[in-house]
Amino acid sequence: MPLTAYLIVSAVIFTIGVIGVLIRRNPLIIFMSIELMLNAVNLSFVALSHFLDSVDGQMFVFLVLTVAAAEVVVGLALIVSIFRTRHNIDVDEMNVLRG
Amino acid sequence: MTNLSLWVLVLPLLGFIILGLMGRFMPRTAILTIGWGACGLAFLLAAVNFINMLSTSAAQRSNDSVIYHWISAGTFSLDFGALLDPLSMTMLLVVTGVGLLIHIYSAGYMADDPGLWRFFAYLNFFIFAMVLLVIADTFLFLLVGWGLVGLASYLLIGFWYQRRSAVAAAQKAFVINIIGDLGLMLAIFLIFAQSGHLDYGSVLAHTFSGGTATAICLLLFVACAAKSAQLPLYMWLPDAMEGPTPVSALIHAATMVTAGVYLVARTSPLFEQSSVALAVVAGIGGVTALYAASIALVQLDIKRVLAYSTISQLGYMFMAEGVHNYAGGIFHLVTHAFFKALLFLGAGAIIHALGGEQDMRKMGGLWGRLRITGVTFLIGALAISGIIPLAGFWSKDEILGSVLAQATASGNVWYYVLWIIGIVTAGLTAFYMFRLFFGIFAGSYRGETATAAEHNAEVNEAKDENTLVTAAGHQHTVHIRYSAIHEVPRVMSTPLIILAVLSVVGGFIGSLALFGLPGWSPLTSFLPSGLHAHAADLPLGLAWISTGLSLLAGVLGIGLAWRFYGKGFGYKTQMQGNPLYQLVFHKYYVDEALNAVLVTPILALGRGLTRYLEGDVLDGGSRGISMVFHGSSAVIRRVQTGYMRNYALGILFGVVVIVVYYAMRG
Repeated sequence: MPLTAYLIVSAVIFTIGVIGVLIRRNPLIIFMSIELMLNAVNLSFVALSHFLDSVDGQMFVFLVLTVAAAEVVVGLALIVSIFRTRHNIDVDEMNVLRG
Repeated sequence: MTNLSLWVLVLPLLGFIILGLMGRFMPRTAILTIGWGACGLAFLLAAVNFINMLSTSAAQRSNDSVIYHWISAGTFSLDFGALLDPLSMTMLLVVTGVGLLIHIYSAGYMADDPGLWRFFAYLNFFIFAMVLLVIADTFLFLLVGWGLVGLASYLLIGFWYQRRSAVAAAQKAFVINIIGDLGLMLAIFLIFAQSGHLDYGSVLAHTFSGGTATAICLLLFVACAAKSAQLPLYMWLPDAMEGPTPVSALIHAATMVTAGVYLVARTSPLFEQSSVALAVVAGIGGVTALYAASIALVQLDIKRVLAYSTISQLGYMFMAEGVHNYAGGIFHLVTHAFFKALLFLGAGAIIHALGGEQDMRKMGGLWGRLRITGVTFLIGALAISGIIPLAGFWSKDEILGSVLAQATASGNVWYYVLWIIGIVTAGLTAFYMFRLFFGIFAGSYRGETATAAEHNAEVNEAKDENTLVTAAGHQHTVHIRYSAIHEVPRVMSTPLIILAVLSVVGGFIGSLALFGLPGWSPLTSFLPSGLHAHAADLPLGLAWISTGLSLLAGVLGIGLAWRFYGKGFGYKTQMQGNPLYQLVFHKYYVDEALNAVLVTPILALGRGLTRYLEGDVLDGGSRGISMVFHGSSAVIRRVQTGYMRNYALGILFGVVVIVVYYAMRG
């Protein structure tokens, strides 16, 4: 398979992620969408690493995976504490910082 | 010697610091011990220095010791040093000596005042500032001392700060003194610019060009006129009587106000370079002497009579200095310190005995009740009137003699006029002093006879005559029955007696050439020869004429006062219609004119500036700036919706823009 096929799949997954972040109201789903975007990038990293015959891209993938795990931990903790205070985690209700 | 002179300066400062920080918590005895001790030890040290100085030869008497190297930059250096020469020694003895007597007296006068510690702290501070002024050996530290005595004066005039009038008087004194300080500062700038030095030794040896010398001397004299209450900057001194009476005696009669006389004597080599400046000094002195004496003729507040008398006597001193007889000015300064301090303390004793009453119309007949005060007051009055052989006679005679000598030597008719002014003023002085004396001591007591109607009339009168301070002295004036009047305590009468003795014998430090003792002139020979070398000599015959006339004027003044007031002081209501009387009584309407010309417009300007400049322009400016931000943020803050979705969209949009930009750029 040519490189282009991988990159197209990656772009499609990334776009699904972006749209998910923009239109969903449940923060858990938004997190999943963010994961989609990250993994889309990971996919293009791995593909490029393979076609360019270099291991740099694969190393970046591990980095991204680690950061994503950490980010999810923080994000879930925030959501839990928001739920405890407001009994609601709809992101459209969270507009306290409106100017 | 260095250490000793330094301690004269440091002891009062220590007293001030200790009393100022801890006096509030001290018992009365501790306050008095520190207050008296600081001033008394300073006087003792000054006396020891004086005896040391007498034992050295005349050439070695000027002792300039550097205490501290302050600034050293290139060729310029500035040291803080103590200059002890016969002139500063004379001043030092007067300041600490009279100061000590007044410290002692104050313990009685201020006994009931809860602010006793504050009072003694300020007094010690004043002694410190005055000593600094006197022993400074550069113009810069002279200025420091000059400013600090002004501050001490301000603090003590406004000592009873609960009283509006006292606070106003303190401010007036301070503001007018600042004019003088400005003059001194400009003079110092000019001296430094022209000579490059600030220490007396170099500056006084420097020859300035004619115009510069005149400018420097006139600026110095502005400072002297403000400090020593000469025309046209005298207005603060009568108001300064709002302060406690010992303060009036110490600062506003004996010491601080003579700082101007001291400064002219100190800078006499400069004044010798400018005949114009000397003529101004003599002229202003003479006019002030006559002017203030005329106002003193009709005042009803006993302290104000003495205040105008002080202004008048200071005028005499400047008159002497204006005709090159600086030593004569210093001589009168010393004797005046004795008898005027005596008169003020006597007035204080009377005010104290009468529970704060200062109005002569409510006194009278006190001779029977206040015998010590009466006798000492009489001695003071005789001394200031120039009656032989009391102190005032010798010094006043010396001044009038040297004015006449200058007149005959120069042939200038204005000096004859000045001499006549001096004689007339001597007569006026005797008259108002004995008007005061008879008003207080002769006749019968008028304090308890004042009926309600009279009292109301007086109150109404006091409303339109701002001259009369009815509630001055203490917080409240209480009418005291005649039988309840008692002589003041010993702590107050002792200084009176000592000063009375000094007022009798103090004159003998002057020249007795007139009485066949040409070799006898302790003060003149003690002071540096530069202080009298330029004065013209008067032939003995003319000297007798001058002496005789001044004595005659004095006796005449006393006689007239006896004729009018010997049977007791009657306030002459028929005089009130007399326009001349009204003019003098209202002090030539100077305060009113000043109010109209200066104070009111400045207040109006200030009010206008507050309202329009500060209100509309400055506040408007800052309000405008805040409104700009407020308005612009009202628009911008709509972007902050608080919806995470919008922010995410913004980020996406930004990323797209960046990606498109790089894609297009290739």
